[in-house]
Amino acid sequence: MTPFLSGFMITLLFVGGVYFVAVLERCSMTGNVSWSGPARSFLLLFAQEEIKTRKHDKVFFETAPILFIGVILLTISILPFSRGSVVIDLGTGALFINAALVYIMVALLMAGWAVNGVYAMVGGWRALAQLIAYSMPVVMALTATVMRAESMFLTDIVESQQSLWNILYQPVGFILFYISALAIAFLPPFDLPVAEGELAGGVWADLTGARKLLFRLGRLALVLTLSVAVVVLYLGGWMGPWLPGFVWTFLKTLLVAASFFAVGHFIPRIRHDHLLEYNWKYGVPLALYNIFQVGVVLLL
Amino acid sequence: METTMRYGARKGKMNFFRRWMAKSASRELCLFPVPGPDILRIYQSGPLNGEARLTANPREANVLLIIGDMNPDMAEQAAIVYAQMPRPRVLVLAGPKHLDPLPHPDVHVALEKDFLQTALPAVRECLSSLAWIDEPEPYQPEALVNEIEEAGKQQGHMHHHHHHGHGDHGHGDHDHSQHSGHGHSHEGHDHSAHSHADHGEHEGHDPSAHQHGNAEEGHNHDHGNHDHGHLSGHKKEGHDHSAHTHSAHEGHDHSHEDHKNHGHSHSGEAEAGESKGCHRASDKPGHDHGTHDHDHPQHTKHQLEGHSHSHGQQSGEKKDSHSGHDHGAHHHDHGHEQEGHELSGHQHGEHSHGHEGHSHEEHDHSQHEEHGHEHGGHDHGHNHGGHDHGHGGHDHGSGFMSMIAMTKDLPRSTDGLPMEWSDVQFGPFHPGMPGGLRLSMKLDGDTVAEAEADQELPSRNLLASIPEDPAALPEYLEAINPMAPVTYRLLAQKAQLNFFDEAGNSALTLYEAVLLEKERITSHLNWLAVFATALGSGWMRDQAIKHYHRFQNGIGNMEQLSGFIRRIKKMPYLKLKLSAAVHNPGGTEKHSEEAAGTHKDHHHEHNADSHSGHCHEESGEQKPHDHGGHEGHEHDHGAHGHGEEHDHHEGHGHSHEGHQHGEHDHHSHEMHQHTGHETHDHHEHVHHDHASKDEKNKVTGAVPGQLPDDITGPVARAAGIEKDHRLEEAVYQQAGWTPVTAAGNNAWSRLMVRLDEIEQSLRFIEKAGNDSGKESSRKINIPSVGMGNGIAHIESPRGIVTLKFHIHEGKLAHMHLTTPSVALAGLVKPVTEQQELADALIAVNSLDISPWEINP
Amino acid sequence: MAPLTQYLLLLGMGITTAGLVWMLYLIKQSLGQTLDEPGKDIPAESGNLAPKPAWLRYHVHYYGYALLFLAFDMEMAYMYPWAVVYREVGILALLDMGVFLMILFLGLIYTWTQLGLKRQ
Repeated sequence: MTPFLSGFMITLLFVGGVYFVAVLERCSMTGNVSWSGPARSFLLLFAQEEIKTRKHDKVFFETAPILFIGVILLTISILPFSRGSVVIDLGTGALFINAALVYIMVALLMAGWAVNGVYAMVGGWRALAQLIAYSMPVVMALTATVMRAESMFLTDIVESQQSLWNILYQPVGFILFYISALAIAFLPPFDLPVAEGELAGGVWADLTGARKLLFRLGRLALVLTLSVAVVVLYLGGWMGPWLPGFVWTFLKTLLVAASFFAVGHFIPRIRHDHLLEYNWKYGVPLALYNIFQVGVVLLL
Repeated sequence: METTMRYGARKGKMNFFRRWMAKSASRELCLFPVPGPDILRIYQSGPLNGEARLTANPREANVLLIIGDMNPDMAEQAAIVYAQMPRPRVLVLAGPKHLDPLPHPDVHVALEKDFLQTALPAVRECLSSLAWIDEPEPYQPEALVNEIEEAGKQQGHMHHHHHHGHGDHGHGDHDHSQHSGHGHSHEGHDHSAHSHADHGEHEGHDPSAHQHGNAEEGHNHDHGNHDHGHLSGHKKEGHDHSAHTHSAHEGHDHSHEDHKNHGHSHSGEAEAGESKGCHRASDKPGHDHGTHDHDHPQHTKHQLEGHSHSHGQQSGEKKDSHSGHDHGAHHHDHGHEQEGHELSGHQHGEHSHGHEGHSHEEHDHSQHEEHGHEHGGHDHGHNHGGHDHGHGGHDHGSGFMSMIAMTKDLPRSTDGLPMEWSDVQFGPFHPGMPGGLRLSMKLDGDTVAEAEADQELPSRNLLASIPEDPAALPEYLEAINPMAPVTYRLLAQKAQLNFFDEAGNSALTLYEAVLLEKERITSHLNWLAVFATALGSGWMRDQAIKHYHRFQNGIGNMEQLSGFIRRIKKMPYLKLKLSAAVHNPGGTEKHSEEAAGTHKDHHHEHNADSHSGHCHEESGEQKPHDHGGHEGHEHDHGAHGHGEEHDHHEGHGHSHEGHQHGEHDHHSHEMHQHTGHETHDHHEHVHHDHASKDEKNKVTGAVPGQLPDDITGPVARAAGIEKDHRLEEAVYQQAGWTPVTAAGNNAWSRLMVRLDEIEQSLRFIEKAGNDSGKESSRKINIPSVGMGNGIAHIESPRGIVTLKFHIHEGKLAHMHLTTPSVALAGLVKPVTEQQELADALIAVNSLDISPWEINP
Repeated sequence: MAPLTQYLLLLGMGITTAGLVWMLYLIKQSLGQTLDEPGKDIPAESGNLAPKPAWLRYHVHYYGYALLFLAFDMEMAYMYPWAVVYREVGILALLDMGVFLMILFLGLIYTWTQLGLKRQ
C-alpha cells in the first residue's frame, strides 16, 4: 500500500472513528442513536461565546485544551491500523502510549486549576488521584505485552499475537488494562474529574466554545485511541480472517469503544477512596502477578 | 417580540454561515431547569426524548427554563445562572410573566402539564433566527451588579494579597475575617499588631505603621532584640524559647533553669492548645494571663503551673487553649507598660505554643537543624511575616520558612496539616441535589469540613400569605409543596375535618390512603432519579424517570417496576459505595456538634493564631534540643497528627516504643503525669488527639446511634425506628400493614427502605383494588363563625407532617406546619462531616430533604 | 523509516495539531466577540456567585498513595528495557527482576500494614 493511500485511510478511519465514538457516546447518554446529533453538538459549541473566568490562569487556560487534544493525536499516530500502515512506527511505541497519556491528567489538572473555581479544582485534583490509581496497573500490563513481543514496536506486539491473542495469553493484564483505560478516559464509572452529579461538570464545567470543543473532541479521540490500543495490545490488532486489516481494526475498535460506554450503565461512579485503595491493594499485586505469569510461561 | 433575545443573542449580522449554524444548533436544545430537573419532571408527562436534553451547569446550556414562581432570593440566584450562560441563550418563563431581576422572557408559557411542548418550538425559533442580532444589550441588572461589586471589594483585597506573592492567596480569606474581628485592637497596640502576625490586618490597617515600625516602634525593636538574643545566646541551647526568655529576661534575674521550665510549660501549653484544636471557645479569659502579667519569676512559676494544668485539664481543656488568646490580649496590655521589653517576646513564645499545629513540628525541626541560627530569623520572619507582608516579605527569603509563615494561621485538618478551606455551595441549582436545596460547605481539600443546608432560601414564600378563608386551605397547601401536593391537600382536609366535623373523625379513607400511597411511589421515584444522578448511574436515573412518568400518568406497571427495583438491589458495587462509610447521624449528633465546634473554633483560632502563630518554630526548635530522644517523639507526633484512626495504633507501635509507651489510649495521660513533663506534654498531646480520633471512629463505626426524635419517615425507618403515622390509621391497620425498616442507618439502608416502600405501596394499592371506591362524598360543613383549633397528622413520603391551625370567628387566625424536612436538614452536618465530597452529597441526597418544606 | 524521521513526524503532528487549533480559534473569533456582562466571568457554582479565588492550599488527601506511586514509578523505568530482553536473557532476568519487584512489593505490603493505603 502506498504511503499516500495508507495515510488517507488512516485519516479516514480516524475521523470516522471519532464520529462513530461520538454517536456511541451520545447513545449512551440519551439512549437513542442520532447520526446528526454529534454534528449539532459541535455546531452548538462552535456558535457559543467564549467565556474566560475572572482571574483565570492564562497560561494553563490556553494550553490545557491544546495539550489535551495534542497528546491524544500523538498517541493515535503511533498506533498501527493495519500491517505496515502506521503514521509513526516508533521504536518505543509501548512506552510512548504510557508516557503520552499521562499528560491527560496533566491537562485536566491544568484546566481544573486554570478556571479558578472550586468545582473545577476539586475535579483537577481528582484527576491526579485517578492517575496515581491507574498508572501502575496500566504500565505493568503494558510491560507484560512487551515481554511477549520482545519489542516495544506496536507492530511487533500485534505480530506476537499471531498464535494466540493476548486477551487469552494474559487475561489478567487485559482486564487491568481495560479497566485502566476507562479510568484514563475518565468514562463512567471513573468520571470523577467531570462528575455531573457531584461537580456539575468539574474540570470542564466552566469552559465554553472552542476550549470546550477541544476537550470534548479530545475525549472522543481519547476513547478511540484507547480502544485501538486495547485492540492492538490484546485483541490481535488487524488480524482476522477474510476481511482486510483495516476493517478488522475498525470493527474491533468500535466494539471496544461501545463496551467502554456500556460499562458505566452497570456500575455507579466509583468512590475516590475506593479507586485508590482497590488499585493499590488488588490492582498492583495482580499486575505483578501478571508479569510473573507471563514471564514463567515465556520461559517454559 | 421587539425585546426578544435582546439579552440572549450574540452581537453581529446574520449571514449565511451563521444562519446555517444557528439553525442546525437550534435543534440541539440544552436546558438548564430552575429550580431543578425534579420540578421539571412534575410538569412532564414523559421523559425528554431527544428533543432536548438537560445540562448539569449553565455553561453548557442554551436555554434557561424557569419553572413556576419563586421568591426574590431564588430569582436572584436564577439571574446569576442566566448571567453565566454563554450566548446565544434563551430565557423561558413557565408561569410568571416576569421575574425580577431576570429580563423579560424570550419565551413565556403557562405553567401547565407538558408546557415544554409549546415552549420548545418557540425556543428553537428564537435560536435559529435571532442567535445574532445587531443590537444586543448586556444583561446587567442592578441587583446582580451590586452583589458582584460587593464580592469584588473582597476580591480586591484578595488580589492585593495575591500580589504579596507568597503563593498564599488563600490566606486572604482568613485574614479578612480576622481583619474585621481584630481590627481595632491592632491599631491600638503596636505590640498587638506585632503579635497579630497576619496579612489581612495589615492591609486593613495602615501598613506603613508596621513597616516603619522597625525603626520607630518599641515592639519592633523588641523583635530585633529577641532575635538577636536568639541568635547569640540561644543557638547553643537550642530552644528558642528559653533563648527567648533569656534574652528577654536576662535582666530580670531569670535563671536558665527557669527558662527551661518555661520551655516546658510552653510545650505543655502547646499541647493544650492543640487539644483546643478540638474544643475551643476562644473568648474565655485565660488565667494564665494574669500570671503572665506579673514579672518573670512569677512568670516561670506560672508556667510550671500551666504545665500541671495541662495535665489536669488534659482531656479537652478549654482554658488552656485560651491562653493563646489571652496572651494576645494580655500582651496588648503590657505593650504599653513594657516598651521594648522582652517580656512580650516571652509571651509571644507562649502564644505560639498554644497554637502551633503539631504537624508543624517536624518542619520546624528540620528547619532548625539545618539553619541553626535561623531561630532568630524565624521569629523575625514570623512577626514580619504577618506584619510586613506588604513589604515584599524579606523574611520569606528562606523558602522553607515562608511556608511556615504562610501556613501558621491556617485551619488544621484532621491529620493536623495546615490547609486552607474553600467555601463552596452546592445548590440551589445543582444537578445532584433536589432543585432549590442549597448546601453551604467548607471543603478541606475534597473532604467536607462543615456543611449545612440553607434554611434561608424558601422556595416559595407562600406561608407569608395565609388565606383567611379556612375553606381555601387545601388548595393553598397543595400549592405550597410541588413535591407532594396530594399529601398536603389531604392534610389540610384532615385538619378541617378535625375541626369542623362533629364526630371529629379525621381518619383516612381507603381512597385517600391509595392516593397517598400513589404519591409516595412517585415521590420516591422522583427522588431516586436525583439520587441516581448524584450516584453517577445514568441507567438508574433514566429508568427511575421512565417509571416516574408512568406512575404519574397512572399507567405504571408493577411487574416492571419490581424488576427495576430488583436490579437496583443487585447492582454491583452499589451497596459497597453506599454503605462503606456509615453515615450515622444519630450517634454522631453529639460528637459532631463538638466537632463542629472544633471547626468553628478553628476560625477563631485563625484569629488567635494570627496573634501568635509566629512562634511556631520556636517551639518546634525547642523540642529537639530540650528532650533527649525527641526524635522518636516527633515521629510519634507526626504519626498521630495524620489523623489516624484507632486501628493505627499497632501500626505505629514502634514509635511508641521509642517513648516507652505501651499504649495510646486516652487513659494513658494519667500515667504521663508521672513522667518528665516535656515528654509528658507531648504525650498528652498525642493522646488528646487520639481521644478525638476515637470519637470520630465511633462516629463512622457501625454503632447504631439514636436519631433525634424529630426525625421521621424513611430516614428514621432506615435506622430501625418504627416510626410511621400510618400505624395509627385504621385503613392501614385493617390491611395488616407494617412499616418497612432497615438497620443500616446509612445511605444504602435509606435507599433500600424507599425501594421497599415503593413495592409495599404497590401491593397496598393493588390490594385496595376496586373497593377503594371513590372520593368520599362527605361534605365538609364549614361554618362561617366559630373558634377553635384543628390538627392533623399525615405520613408524607418524607415523614410525618403536622398541620395545626387556629380559627377565630370563622377566619384562619394562625397556622403551623411541622414538616419532616426541617428535622432532616439538621442531619446534614453530622452525615457530611469529614466525608469525601461525593459521599457527602450522596449522604445528603439520601435524606431526601425537600427545600419546599424548609422554612415554608 | 529512520528513527529521526519518526521523531520529525511526531513533531510535525504536534505542530499540525497546534495549527488546527489555531485555525479553530480564528474561525471562532470571526463569529463575534464575547459580550462583557457582569457575573459572566465568575465560575458557575450552581447559581451562586463565587467571589473568592479558588486557589488555595489544597489538601490532597491521597498523599500517601502519591509517595508510593513515586517509588513504583521509578521502578517502571527499568521494566521496559528489561521486558524487551527478557526472553533472551531467560531465567536470570526473571530472577533479577523478581528480586527487585519483590523488594518493591514488600514495600507495598509494608505500607499496607501501616495502614498507608487509605485516604489520610
